Amino acid sequence: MSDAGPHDILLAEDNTSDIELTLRALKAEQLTAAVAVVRDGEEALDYLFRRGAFAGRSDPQPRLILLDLKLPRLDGLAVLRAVKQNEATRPIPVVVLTSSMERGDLTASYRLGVNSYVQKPLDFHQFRGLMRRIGEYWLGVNQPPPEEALRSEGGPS
Amino acid sequence: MKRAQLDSISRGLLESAPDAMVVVDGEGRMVMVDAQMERLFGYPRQELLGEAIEKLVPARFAAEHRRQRADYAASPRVRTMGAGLNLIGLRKDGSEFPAEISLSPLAAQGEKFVVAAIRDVTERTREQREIQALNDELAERIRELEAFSYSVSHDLRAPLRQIAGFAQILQQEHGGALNEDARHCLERVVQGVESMDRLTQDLLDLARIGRKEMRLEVTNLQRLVEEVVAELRREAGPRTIEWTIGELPFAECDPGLMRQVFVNLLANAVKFTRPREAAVIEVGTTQARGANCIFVRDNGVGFNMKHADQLFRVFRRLHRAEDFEGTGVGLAIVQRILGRHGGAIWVDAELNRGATFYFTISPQTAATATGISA
Repeated sequence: MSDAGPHDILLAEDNTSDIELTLRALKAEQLTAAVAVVRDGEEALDYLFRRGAFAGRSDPQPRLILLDLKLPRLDGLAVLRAVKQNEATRPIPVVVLTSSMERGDLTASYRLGVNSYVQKPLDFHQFRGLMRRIGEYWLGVNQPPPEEALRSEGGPS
Repeated sequence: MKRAQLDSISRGLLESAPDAMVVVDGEGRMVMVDAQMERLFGYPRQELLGEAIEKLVPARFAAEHRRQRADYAASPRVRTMGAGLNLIGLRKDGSEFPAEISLSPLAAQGEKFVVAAIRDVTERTREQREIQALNDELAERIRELEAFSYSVSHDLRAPLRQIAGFAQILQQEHGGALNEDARHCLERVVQGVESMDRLTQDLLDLARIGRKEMRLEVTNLQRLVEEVVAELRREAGPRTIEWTIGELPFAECDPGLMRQVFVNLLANAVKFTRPREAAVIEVGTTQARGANCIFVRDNGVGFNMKHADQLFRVFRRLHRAEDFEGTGVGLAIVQRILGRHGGAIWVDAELNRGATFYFTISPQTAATATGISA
């Protein structure tokens, strides 16, 4: 699914139509971000923690995680929990991108430390605009965490 | 009164008590039993008198029963035996039944006795089990409903978004390659998807209102309505609408939900007066059907009263979508909110003349109202 790194965005999304729409939206808005795609929650964690199929991954962590909540095997909230509980992955911005505006999901996501929570609009035009703003902000305006922030504390500095 | 008379009165009292009565001596032997005891346990009196009370307890509980009896003898007082425990009685035929036993100490001529009133609670226990089973079932249904609406919000909206997305890409990126008929069909696809998206959203809103926790507050309805009207005025743009807001009371209600009631009713009034050059929308209080109620009146297109019963049902509409947009959920939401407050809503309308909605917010004033109540 993904070309060789480094990747700006890790997209965790199981549905191929949604993957295609997201990639099309990024392209249509001329965002040149390199996107790695993972298809379920376990694959997302394998990628981020460089294990399993991603054991040999040596490129830097993505600058942004776009996370769907409805993921097979391990759902989005579980991925979010794992990312935010681990020192080395906690600084990576996570944007939940979902169909649902269920209050329970919103509450749980913020309790787990999500950086942003966005409902995907029905209208593709709006969705494109949304992807542009997300990309511009998180990959442009926002200062990414420096490299040392992505190392576990207590290690050699 | 003679001694013999007293004796027969006290025996009569014992015999007429609704519970089975037994008097037990300090050693736990039955010294007096009544007719109810004979009936309840199936023993003739002579087979009980002088016997240990444990004869009426299943063997597996006998030791525990003796211990409890000793405890009671140490600190006798009026109480229910083994409060909170399931006590089991044993009949002569070996069958068992759940029992409730009340004990009271009795001293007679220096000797201590205990009077026990025994009640067969088979029926009550069964009813409690049935109520518990119904409650469990209800809780299960509610969980199912929540899972259902969660699924609607997640799983049903995702494919809708995909259909809309690809249809729009076709329109925008390949519109030039399509002939007019193809573009028309595509337009219909997008419209259909949009209307289904509104429907699912409205259904979710309706489900949410049913389970939202109510937060009652004394609310200034006057101010609430003025805020809603100000908002609708902005949305209505350059149309001529004459708003008349009468004096409205304070009411104890959930302000957020009550706001939704006024938004839905007043937005309907705005919508259905659209063909009028000068729309007139009025909010006020009045007496109707023997209740103090609030009304919302408009001079819009109205409807034939023979359809009035459909008005508050989900997805029922009295107008074509191309004339008046909507999903048919707004009034169902209004009715559900008022119903949760204990109020009611009904309507009076005339085709091409307008409609008046009357409602009550609390059960006190709604008690005499016989309208369509939630």
